[in-house]
Formats: sequence, C-alpha cells, structure tokens
Amino acid sequence: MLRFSPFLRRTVSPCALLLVWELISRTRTVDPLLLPPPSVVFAEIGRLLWGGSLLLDLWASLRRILVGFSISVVISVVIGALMARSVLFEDMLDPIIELIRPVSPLAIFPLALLWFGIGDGSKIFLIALSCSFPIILSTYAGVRGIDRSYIRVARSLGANQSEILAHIILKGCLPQLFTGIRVAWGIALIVIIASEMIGGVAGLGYMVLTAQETFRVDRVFAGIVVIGVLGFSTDQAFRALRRRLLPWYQELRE
Amino acid sequence: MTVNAAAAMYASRQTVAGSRQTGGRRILVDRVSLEFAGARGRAPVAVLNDVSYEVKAGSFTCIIGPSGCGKSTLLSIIAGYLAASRGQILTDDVPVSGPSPERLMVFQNTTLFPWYTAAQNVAFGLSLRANRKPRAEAAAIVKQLIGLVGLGDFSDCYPHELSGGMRQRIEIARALAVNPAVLLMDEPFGALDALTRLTMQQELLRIWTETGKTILLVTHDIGEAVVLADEIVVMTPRPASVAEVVKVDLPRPRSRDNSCFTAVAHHLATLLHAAF
Repeated sequence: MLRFSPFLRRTVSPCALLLVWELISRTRTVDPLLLPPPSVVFAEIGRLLWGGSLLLDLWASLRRILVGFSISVVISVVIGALMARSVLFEDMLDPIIELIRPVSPLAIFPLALLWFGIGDGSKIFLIALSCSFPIILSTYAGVRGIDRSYIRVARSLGANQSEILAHIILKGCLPQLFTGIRVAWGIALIVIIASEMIGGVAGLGYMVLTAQETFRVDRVFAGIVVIGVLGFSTDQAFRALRRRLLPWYQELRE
Repeated sequence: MTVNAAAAMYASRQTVAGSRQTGGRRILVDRVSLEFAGARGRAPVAVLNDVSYEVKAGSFTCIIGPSGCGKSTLLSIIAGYLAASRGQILTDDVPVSGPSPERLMVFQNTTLFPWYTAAQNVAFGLSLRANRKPRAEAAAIVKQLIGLVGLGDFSDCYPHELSGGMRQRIEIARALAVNPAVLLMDEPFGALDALTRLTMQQELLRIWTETGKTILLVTHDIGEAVVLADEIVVMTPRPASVAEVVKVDLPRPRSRDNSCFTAVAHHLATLLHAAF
C-alpha cells in the first residue's frame, strides 16, 4: 500500500466505508429507515443546501464558535503567558483552573442559559470557557519550554523586555500554542452541537435534534456528515496555516 | 603604540573589513575571585581565586585548563552574566556591570533562533531598538557578514537545515552584526567533528584578521589553542588562577607538524599535567 500516494491511501478507507454502508442498507441487512444509505443522505444534504435551512444552521453554529473561540484565544493566551512568566499568577490561577477544568461544560450550560439567555450568548460563553483550558495549558507549556539560552542571547544582543516578548517568547511558544488551538477547536465543535441540542433555536445541533424528533433519520445523518466534514476541513485548514506560519517547525510525520 | 600608529592600524583594518566593523577593545581581568555559597551550612565553594590577566586590544587569546576548573565561569563573568565575588573586569578602563552587545558570547551548542532563517538570525541584533539601523543599511550588513562567514547561498535556510559547522558560522555572523568589540567563545567548536573543527579554526582566524576583534576563546584542545592564539592563558585546577601565560610567536598560518608548534604544545601539555 505504501507505494500509492498518501492522498490515495487516505481516500481509500472512507470510500470503502461508504460502500459497505450503502450495501448494508440497500440489501436491507439493516432497516433503511434506521440506517438510510449514503446516497440518500447526500441527496438530503443537497436538498437542504439548495432551498433548505442547512446554510443558515451551519452559519449559526459557525458564528457562535468563531466568536467564542476568538474571545477565548485572546484571553487564554494572556493568562497562560502570565502564568508561565510569574509564579504569583501561577499560584493564584492554577487552583481555580484545575477546579473548573474537570467540570463538564454541559453542567455549566444551564447556568449559562440563565445568565445569557437561549440565544447566542449562552453558547458563546460556554465555548469561550471550554476552549480556554487547552489554550491556557498549551501557552503555559510553550512559554515555559523556551530554552533560556535564547532569552540570554537576545538580551546580550541588546533586546529589551518587550523585544524579548515579541521576538523570542511569542515566536517560541507558537508550535505548542498551535496544538492547543487545534485541540480547543475540536472541543468547540463538540460543545456547540451539545449546547444547541439542550437549548437552542438554530444551528446544526438543533437541526439534528429536530430531525430526530420528526423521525427524519436521513436528515439526522445529513447533520452528522456536515458536522464531520466541517471538523475535518477546518483541521486541515489549521494544518495548512501552521505549515505557512511555522515553516521551521516540523512534526515527525506530516 | 603612538596615537598615529594606532590610527593607521585601525584604518587598515577598516578597509579590509568593510566600512563599519570597529576593532577590538582591551580587557583587564583585575584580581577576580568567585565563590559560590555552600549548600546548607557547608563551606563556600571557591571557583576562581585572584585571577588577573590583560587581554590586549585586537588580540587572539585562548584560555586552557583542566576541565571543570572554572574557565567558562571566568568567561561568563567577562560577558557580564555573572558577578565576581571580588575584583572586577574592565574593558578599555570601563568596569563591566552586566551583559552588553559590546562583549558577545558564542557557545558550543548554537543558540540560533530556530524560528528565524540564517539571514533573519544575523539581522536580529540590528532590528533591536538598542542598535537599530536603517533597513537598507541593515540588509547590506547582513549580506556582507553572511558572505564573510561563507554562507551566501544559505541565507534563507532555517537552522535545522544547516550543518553544525554552518550553524556555528551563522552564530558568529549574528554576534558580529551588532559590531561587538570583544567576542567571547566558550569551546565554540567542541560539538563539531574533527575535520569541520580544523576548517572552522582557519575560518575564525580569517574572520579575526578581517574584523580586528578581540577574541577570547576557551578550549580544552591544546592544538586548537596553539593554532589560534597570540597568547595562551593556562589555568590551574579549582579554585582556578593563572598558572602561566604562554606567548605564541609563530607566524600564521601555523602548521601543526612544525617543531616550534610541537614544542609549544608539549610545554602546554606539561603545564596541564603538572596541574592535575
């Protein structure tokens, strides 16, 4: 298999999965009402795209993620960097973070509904909160992981504190931070769907739940496929972005 | 040396090195001692004991001594990273109080910033407010220095794409960019293979001749010291003091299989063994 191109190797297994799924459903090994074949699912996606509400739901979810995620990145990077550079900040913030971190975001969601209402506010809050942990931790690890000799050399070449921050600390923690951001993005996708299912008026999670309530299993699958494709393509975008921004940083296997 | 002679020498170096590199400064190590506080009530550890030595402006000096004797520590004090317990360092009669771009350290393991290309690393010092240059001038300096260390074709490579010897050259170029008067080198070629080390010694001599910097280089390699230095400071075991200063009056380039060379090397080896 290794003599085929990586693209081919990575395409073959999803295609095989679709084929088996189609066969199981078409041969009625499993009731197509419960497991509609992929051809039907994709047809439903098409219908929802042209004339349906899919784009509106997709945009509703994506907008909440983007706003919550962006707020989280800004705040968390600052908190993580402060914790890494100052023992005082670390000692004061670490217990708070470690107390909130294990609490499922879904346990906090009812509170968020009360505080910010059933619209975007509660979801944005929940996403910002749940994204902050991996970003804080990765920024902290990234800043702490910078070789002290880089800082020493920069200082002796004449760099002042803010130049060391801009040229050494921010640049040096980027690979770790990028990993944290990818993890956070994955968490955001999970949290948005769950929160839209619990209490929402639009969005992919809301769409999947209402489809289930009206027994439109093909539409449930359509929603799941769209969520999967969204996660996959955004992660690919993050990887491409990292290759552009961090050409000096090579993972063991790309 | 008369003022005129000094000016003439300075001028000749300027023409060789291009328009901006300034020559070296004199370093005076004045009765420097260093003690580390002992852990938990134990007696303090004496590392350096009353070290005095004068490094002449623009000279090439090597420091050798038994390993762990405190050679690198002395270099750190001269660089300003560490403060002496007693005594002081003067550069051209000005006491050293901390790190400065005028005295730059080059280490055995290169500390090139992995997120910058070779050219960006060399340009780093010039981009700082402390020694900022107009963009065109900075670019010209970077180009000249990368050429000086012979890596013109590798400007856009990242450090991980370069060999150990190449990284060391870029490290030297990065230090030269901020136009230091003194280069402090702590076993700079210790991590390189034998062949690359020989090449780098010749390269360093060429760079030294072209720039006129004062170079103070710590090594444990006797041959390296004899090939490079005007004067070799031999240190005693800890607490280190100066055992002897050996002048090397051989013309450069120095061949290792010449009898004068072996005589100096032999003398150094005897001194070091006596020290153990």
